[in-house]
Amino acid sequence: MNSLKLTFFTFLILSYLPAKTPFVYTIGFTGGYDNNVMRFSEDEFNIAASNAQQMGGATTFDSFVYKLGVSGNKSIWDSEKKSFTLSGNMNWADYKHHPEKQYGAGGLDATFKWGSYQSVKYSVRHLNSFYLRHYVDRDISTRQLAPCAFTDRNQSVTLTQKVIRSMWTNIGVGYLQRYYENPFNEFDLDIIYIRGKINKKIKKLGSASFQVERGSASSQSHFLPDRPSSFNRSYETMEWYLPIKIKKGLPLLNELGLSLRQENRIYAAEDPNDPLHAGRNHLDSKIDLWIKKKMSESLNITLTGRYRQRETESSYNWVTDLKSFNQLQFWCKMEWDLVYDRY
Amino acid sequence: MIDIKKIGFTFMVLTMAGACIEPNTDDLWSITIESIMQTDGYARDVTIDENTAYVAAGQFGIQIWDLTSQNKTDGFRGYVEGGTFLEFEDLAIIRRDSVNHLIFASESNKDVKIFHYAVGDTDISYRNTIMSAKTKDFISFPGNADQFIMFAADNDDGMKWHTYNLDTTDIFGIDFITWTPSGGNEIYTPGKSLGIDSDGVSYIVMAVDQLGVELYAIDSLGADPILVGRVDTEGNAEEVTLGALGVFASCDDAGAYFIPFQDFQSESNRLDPAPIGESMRNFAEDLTVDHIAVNNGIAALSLGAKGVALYDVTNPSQPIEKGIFPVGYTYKTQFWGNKLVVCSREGLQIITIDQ
Repeated sequence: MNSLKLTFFTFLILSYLPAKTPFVYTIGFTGGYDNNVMRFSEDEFNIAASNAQQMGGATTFDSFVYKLGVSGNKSIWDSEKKSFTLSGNMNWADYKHHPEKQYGAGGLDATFKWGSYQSVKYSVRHLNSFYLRHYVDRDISTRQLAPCAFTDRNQSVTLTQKVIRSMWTNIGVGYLQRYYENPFNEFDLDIIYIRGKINKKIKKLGSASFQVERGSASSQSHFLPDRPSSFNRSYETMEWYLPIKIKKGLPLLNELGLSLRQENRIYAAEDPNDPLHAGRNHLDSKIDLWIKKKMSESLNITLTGRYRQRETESSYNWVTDLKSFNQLQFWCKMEWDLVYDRY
Repeated sequence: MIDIKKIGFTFMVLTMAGACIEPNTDDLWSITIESIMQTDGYARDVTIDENTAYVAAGQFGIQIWDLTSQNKTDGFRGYVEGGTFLEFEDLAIIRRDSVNHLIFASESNKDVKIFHYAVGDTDISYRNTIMSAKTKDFISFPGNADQFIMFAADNDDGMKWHTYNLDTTDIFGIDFITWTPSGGNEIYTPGKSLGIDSDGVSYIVMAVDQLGVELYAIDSLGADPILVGRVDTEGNAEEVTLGALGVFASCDDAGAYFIPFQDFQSESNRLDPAPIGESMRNFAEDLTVDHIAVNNGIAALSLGAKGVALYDVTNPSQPIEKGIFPVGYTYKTQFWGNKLVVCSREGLQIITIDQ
């Protein structure tokens, strides 16, 4: 939470910097629905149905969710084609039917731009105490459940460069620290990734992009003192992402979007004492569909639906069944674009 | 422009370093396995006399290890009785009386055999058998010269206790050396006695299976034990360990208990509210606990196939979990100074606990 406060105050202070530029900000409210908040597999639905403890106080598998957010940006330095811009965002999410699941998130971007589609951006994102579900704390017990939540700190540097007319590329590297709260810090991961994205503006239609990300997650758990949870959770990951946005020629709507995202994750573990991770891999697919309508000069509404499917492969059938799941999410986001200009 | 680049780069590096977060650290303890002394056979039980470990090694009988050098100094797969060499079938319990140079050993569900063994001896000398069949556990204390007092948990008779004196008889020029009971008794209990412990000064405590735990008081070593009371526990009370404020009981599938001394008294004699550290507490409920060793605020629970669980019992009424450590199939543990000696199927392990 301290990190969120830090982000907020940094953002607030920077907004008062004596640049003669306005502070552009957006306030957003999102209401949504998640049909499988804890990402239960079919088998786990049956188990959890008779085990209230595993539900962490929730009485339903699904939940209504609302999110509040604010984002903004301010140009700190502007000289001809060059500029330096700071932007940031803060969000709060609360799952109404899952008392354990509420979290804050925020981020800050610093962008130096020296031309059209030419910039370098440093980003830092913070996700605070994101609850997954209750797990058995195997370091001290064979049955005792405890809430499992993690905090992410994701930093990246992205270079944007124009390729040809109406086509540009983003190349970046990132370092994601995913650290779990007690008693599950054996799950901690340091993830290094590289990302490449190519973007194309399509005349009289909209835009399309294709992104590839390659990451390597390093777990230190197996170097910890030998405990029942001391297994290697390192993995290699490869993800591709294809968003397509149609912005022209749409009746009533301002934007129609479709995106496909697929991650292939392969765990490094080969310890036969760790059947949960040994030789395991999964394919995590997400399909998003959204429509956006500009209601007025400053008010936008976006309706989004997402279908997610994770297919796990393991030489153990029970692991395949345990770690595969489906998830369906819908949300409606309202955003007000505002400007504060005291100059 | 160069300056701007330098400043920008420095700013970015500093920002990235400063934006990193530190991982959380858990408040569990860790262990370091200092050494594994690979006993022949399973290390079923151990008794430690200074730096020497006397090991009940199942079918391999008695083994004696120097804990400092981690070398086996002796091993006895059997003994000579009446001119015949007899092999141990499955030695499960072992105790040492260093004053009288004795080793007490018992095979599963049998009586107690006395052997003479002084440090430096090359063999053990069988003396005689005491107590009776179905002895599940026993503890002894040296008394006057050539004397010891033993308390035994007898599964079908209750608690047996006797004072034994050295009896040397010369018949036809042959010395017959035995230890004969001179006093003591048998105290019936409706439960099935499984484990026993005593401080040799004030208390004797006995695990009586489904009926829980019984506490006996003694005025002095050798005096008649008086039943203080019995406390029922969940599961089967199998082993007991005396602590400063009460009794730790291993209750198999029901985990472990701490039972303060005052809980064995009638309710009218208890302090209300109970002083700090003197409330009964069931812990490690989801573990199968076979034995508990306690030392200096640390409780080591033997969990069979799951290894060892450590608890902070500085306040025994509020034990704090400090981790399960899969060190192999564990029968029993005993503290040797600040180190923990683990009897396991892999052998005798010496473990340092890092708090």
